[in-house]
Amino acid sequence: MAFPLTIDGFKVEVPEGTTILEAAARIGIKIPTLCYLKDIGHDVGACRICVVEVEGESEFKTACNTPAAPGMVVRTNTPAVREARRVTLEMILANHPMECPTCVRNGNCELQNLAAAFNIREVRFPRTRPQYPIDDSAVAVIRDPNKCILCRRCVTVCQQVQTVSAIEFKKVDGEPVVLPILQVPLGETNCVQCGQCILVCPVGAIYERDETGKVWAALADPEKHVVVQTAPATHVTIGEAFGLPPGTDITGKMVAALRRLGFDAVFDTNFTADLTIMEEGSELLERIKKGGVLPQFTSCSPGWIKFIEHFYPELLPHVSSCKSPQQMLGPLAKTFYAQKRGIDPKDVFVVSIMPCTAKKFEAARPEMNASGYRDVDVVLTSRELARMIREAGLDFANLPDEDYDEPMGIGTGAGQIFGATGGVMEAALRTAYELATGKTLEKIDFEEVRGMNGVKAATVPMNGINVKVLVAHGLGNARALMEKVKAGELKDYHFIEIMCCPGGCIGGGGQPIPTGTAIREMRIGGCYARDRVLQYRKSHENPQIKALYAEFLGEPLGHKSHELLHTTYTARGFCPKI
Amino acid sequence: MSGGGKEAQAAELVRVLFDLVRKESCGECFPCALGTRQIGAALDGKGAAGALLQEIGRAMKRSSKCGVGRIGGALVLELLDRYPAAFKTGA
Repeated sequence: MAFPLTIDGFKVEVPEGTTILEAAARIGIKIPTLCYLKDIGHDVGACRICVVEVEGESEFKTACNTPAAPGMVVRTNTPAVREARRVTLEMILANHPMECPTCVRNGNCELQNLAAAFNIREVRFPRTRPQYPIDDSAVAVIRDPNKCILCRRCVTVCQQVQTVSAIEFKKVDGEPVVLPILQVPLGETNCVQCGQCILVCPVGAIYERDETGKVWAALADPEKHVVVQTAPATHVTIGEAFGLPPGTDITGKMVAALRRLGFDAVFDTNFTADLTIMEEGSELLERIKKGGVLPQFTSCSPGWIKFIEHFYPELLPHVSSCKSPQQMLGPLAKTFYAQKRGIDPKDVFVVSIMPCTAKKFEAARPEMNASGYRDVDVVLTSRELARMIREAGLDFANLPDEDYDEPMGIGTGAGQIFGATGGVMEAALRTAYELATGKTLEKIDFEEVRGMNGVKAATVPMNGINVKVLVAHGLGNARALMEKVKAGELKDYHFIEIMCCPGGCIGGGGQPIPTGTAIREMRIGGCYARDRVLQYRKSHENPQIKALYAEFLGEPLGHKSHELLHTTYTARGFCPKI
Repeated sequence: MSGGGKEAQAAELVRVLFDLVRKESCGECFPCALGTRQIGAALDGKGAAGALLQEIGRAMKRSSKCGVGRIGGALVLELLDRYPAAFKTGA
């Protein structure tokens, strides 16, 4: 039932369940907010920036989480409200290091924006919080508690969305603070390095380890042959850092930018996504044929891998032994490509452009040195690449479209959709069906596994077997499926795709900020749009994949594949270092 | 309570009451968490004074999430009204 209320003298009609914040937005009043983040269900009312007056109430109400009521009379802009908001904001700023020009979030900070909107010109209060050390113990995710404003969005995303609970809000020595569980450094916890906390942080209190310096140094080193690979999800997201709409296909411009930065060869991780399908699809068919452990779980998402190693180590035999596409391209660059070009593999330096912070952890895993050298030398997130492009002064939006280099430059539409939840499954089904049946798929779009629903299911008849598959994204959804696997409820399923981050890699912790639900959906749209227009849409039809097997690897799951493209996992258990 | 004049006693009363608010403050909502610390700094002679403290008191009283901050804010306003010297001197 809709009902009327009055906001700042204007009548507005809203349905039940509408908050004051949403009701005000309907009549063009944007009540300021700071801690509120609807996408992750965070409406704890901590910051009190969105306070409003409600007639008949002596205290202010927080607009973000107070439902509008019939006949309510709300005032959003009285002197008392403005004073209260301003005092609160000033007290936040008093405790916030004013390092804006050197902060990673300079120009993209919600606190900075709010200070500008409130016309703050001075802070009349002293700092009252203690100084904390920066925690850079983890491979990818760094925390600066001094910049933290205690909005607790990171805690909500870590505990509620990802169900990892590596960080918590508590009082330590009488002072409220957000910190890793058990008060140990983050690198010693079960944090999976997914970086979802980075995406939701309104300020620069959590950020990725910036490794652009290592890449600049490699590019300047005449001894090094520096190659780069670009993950599927980056094809449709990096434009956002340069003002292009989310989901814009910037593949050609990214390739052009990478060449101008000085990379010696530009390869596409979409190519090794196709290779992953060949290996992982073959592994699945073999498990089905030989009675192996089923359902098989995908292994492309390093945040997910670390999650299962910590929380469900007993289920590791379900995980495909395939390395992720990033970790497949690295050793191929140092063997297949180096041999082809006559370059000493010790001089080949592999850089990855990834949507992901957990990829930094994955690349650093000790076992990832199949060629005798590190598979991948440096992982840069989408945000770090954008910084390099900016520093080099490249006019990204106006760069020409260029093509990738041989012999690892063709990716199919199947490889492209790896960037979205359900994409690995759909790509696998396109290939597994045709390899298993010898028939051509009439309809290659598997709509059932697409989209933002947390868990998706499909059944595909293949050679008399109904192949049953499940897809989950976000670790909370993954956890729910793992509990079912443990309880023996999913015994008749064959294949489960898990992506660590909501929406899949397009929503990864290394992506441009902001990353919200609507933006995720646009990026997913960008993946499928690119899939539709590519010449090849099935991994096994990729001519460079065929050439790779013919010239170098032999066959899927063959000896060389096992050496270079497959891996093992580590049962870590809960907080192994404690 | 220690000896001394009425002002010193008032300052100590303020401090004791405010220590209590600060201990009870859960730290979750900003006006209370930050406001109690600003008032604490003022009592130590290291913080804001006068009208600024009234602004903090009003923000705490009306914006805080629960009774701790609201009562704390009301207390600030009351104490500023009755014993302004307790804040000025830092006792």
